[in-house]
Amino acid sequence: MDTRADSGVSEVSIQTMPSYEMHSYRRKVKSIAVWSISFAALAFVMFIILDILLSVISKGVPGLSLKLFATQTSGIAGGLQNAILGTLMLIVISSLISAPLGVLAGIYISLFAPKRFGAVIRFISEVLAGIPSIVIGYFGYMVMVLQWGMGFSALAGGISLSIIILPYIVRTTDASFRQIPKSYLEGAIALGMTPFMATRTVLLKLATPGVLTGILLAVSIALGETAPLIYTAGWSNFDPNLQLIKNPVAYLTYVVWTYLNEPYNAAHQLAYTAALLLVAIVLVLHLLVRLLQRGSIKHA
Amino acid sequence: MTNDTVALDDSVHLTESELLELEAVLTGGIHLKKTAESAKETVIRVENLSAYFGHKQVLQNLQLEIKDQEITALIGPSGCGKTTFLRTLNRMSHTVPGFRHEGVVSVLGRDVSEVRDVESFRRAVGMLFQRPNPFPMSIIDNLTLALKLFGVSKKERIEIAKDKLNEVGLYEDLKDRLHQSPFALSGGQQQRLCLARALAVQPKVLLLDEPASALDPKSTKLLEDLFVRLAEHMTIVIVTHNLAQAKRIAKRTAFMEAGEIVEFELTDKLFYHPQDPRTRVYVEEQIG
Ligand SMILES: Nc1ncnc2c1ncn2[C@@H]1O[C@H](COP(=O)(O)OP(=O)(O)OP(=O)(O)O)[C@@H](O)[C@H]1O
Ligand SMILES: [Mg+2]
Repeated sequence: MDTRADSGVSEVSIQTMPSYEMHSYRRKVKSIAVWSISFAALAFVMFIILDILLSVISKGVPGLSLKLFATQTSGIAGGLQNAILGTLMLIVISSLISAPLGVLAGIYISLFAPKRFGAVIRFISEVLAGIPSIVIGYFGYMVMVLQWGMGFSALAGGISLSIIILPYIVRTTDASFRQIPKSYLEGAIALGMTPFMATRTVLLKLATPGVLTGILLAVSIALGETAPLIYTAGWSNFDPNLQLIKNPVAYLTYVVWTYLNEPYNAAHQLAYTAALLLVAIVLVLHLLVRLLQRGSIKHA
Repeated sequence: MTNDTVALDDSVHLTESELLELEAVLTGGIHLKKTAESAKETVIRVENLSAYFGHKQVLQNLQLEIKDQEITALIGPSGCGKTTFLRTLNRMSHTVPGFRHEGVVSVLGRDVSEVRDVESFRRAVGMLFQRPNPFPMSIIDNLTLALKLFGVSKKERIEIAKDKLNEVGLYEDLKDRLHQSPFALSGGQQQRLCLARALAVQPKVLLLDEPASALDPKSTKLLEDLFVRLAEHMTIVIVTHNLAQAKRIAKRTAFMEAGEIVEFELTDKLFYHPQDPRTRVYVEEQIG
């Protein structure tokens, strides 16, 4: 029944519109080709990601133990407590600096800045995002570590990280506020609210999921940085001591980067486990981002 | 037929003040008569208003007086400047970069170009938009947010909110879900909620920009009845593409074209006895 109807249709179209039929045939072949290529590319990427994930998990899991979280690294072995706490400290410092700055700047350029000036800031921020992180690390070394006398320290590392992630926070904040329909701001202003009141109450509520997403993504970028920290945070075998300057701190990416080059199994194990922890944290962050985005759809 | 209409219109026109007096006598004597007379107070006075977006002139030499306790309608083809004019009255147009105006626009005795405290001015001149725009917060918060920011006590805020919900006929429907999202409400309910929100800050003037154009006939009727009732104690200016709507609720109507006010008259007169050929063409086209 179905096939008969189908063949009936194609018979008619072949008789009356041969060129159309040719076109659609060619188009079909083309689209199949394009789809296959995309699919192959996707499969390739997925394969690489899966491979990385699997090797990190299979090599990292054996090193997981309570001792890992409870002891500091000593030489090429020991635990990761100092690196975990150091990473945490660096992330907290860089977020405390870049989140308020970036969010305020993003709000300013999306809502209040004159058009031209907003465009200039957006451009500068893009350029900043394009600077290789090692350059920022070197700059941090020359200026903060040496010139300002901070030494290798949590503050120098945290500031370097915040310079790296600032543009991401500005950009996502800017985008989240710009995509809010004008009618919300106008509705609030028409009631006699100041633009500031309207932003703080109505608009911020709408933009919060987007802004938080930006901050979380920025944090996950900061988590993965190594080069700038080597120049600014140094390394320490001891837990961070809440001294902001002149005391180097440990961080997980350092373990991954250096300990893989050591000729010892214990060092390799520590590196893989540090990598596993990083991947796990980034995964959790991205899951949080997903949750936030799902929450934000409800309002729109 | 035409003679009839003219005669009717003329008689209405001639006896307007007598009618007001009659109404006053019928509904309660001297006190009401006084308010009927003060109804003639001009709330919005516009003289030689020209307005520009950058170099583009969008309003030309508008001349207009709008009186208290009346509904005044603005009609005219798309792009003729109705919205721009309406939003000049509460300085919303002025928030657009590149906007400027010349001439006098006086609202509630204040020249809009000399208003210092824009916020309290806007509080006195409320506005309702084409699409309902409830805030992304609970129904009750929608109503109380502005009051809270202006420092009204919590008890008082809630009282005002309930009062205004009642005024727009939503209280019975919504009293059990005041803490829920307004986005689940129908378009008509959302628009009435926005009206209640605007009323909560006690405006004296209400500007409406095609407030019912996105709504079904039943919600439109509900809103229109509300506007008529509100006009008993405030000034209402409504932009509409729906001439029947203007006819139903507006005492006076201004017809605009290409940034000018072509004709400003009592609504019936404008529709049935237009003086300007441009008005006649537009009205005939719209009514068919
Ligand atoms: N922000 C703006 N910048 C530049 N020009 C504008 C702006 N807003 C409106 N205009 C122009 O001003 C003129 C009047 O627009 P306005 O929105 O006041 O018309 P309207 O009568 O309300 O039309 P409609 O019936 O379609 O709502 C139009 O030519 C429009 O293109
Ligand atoms: Mg308009």
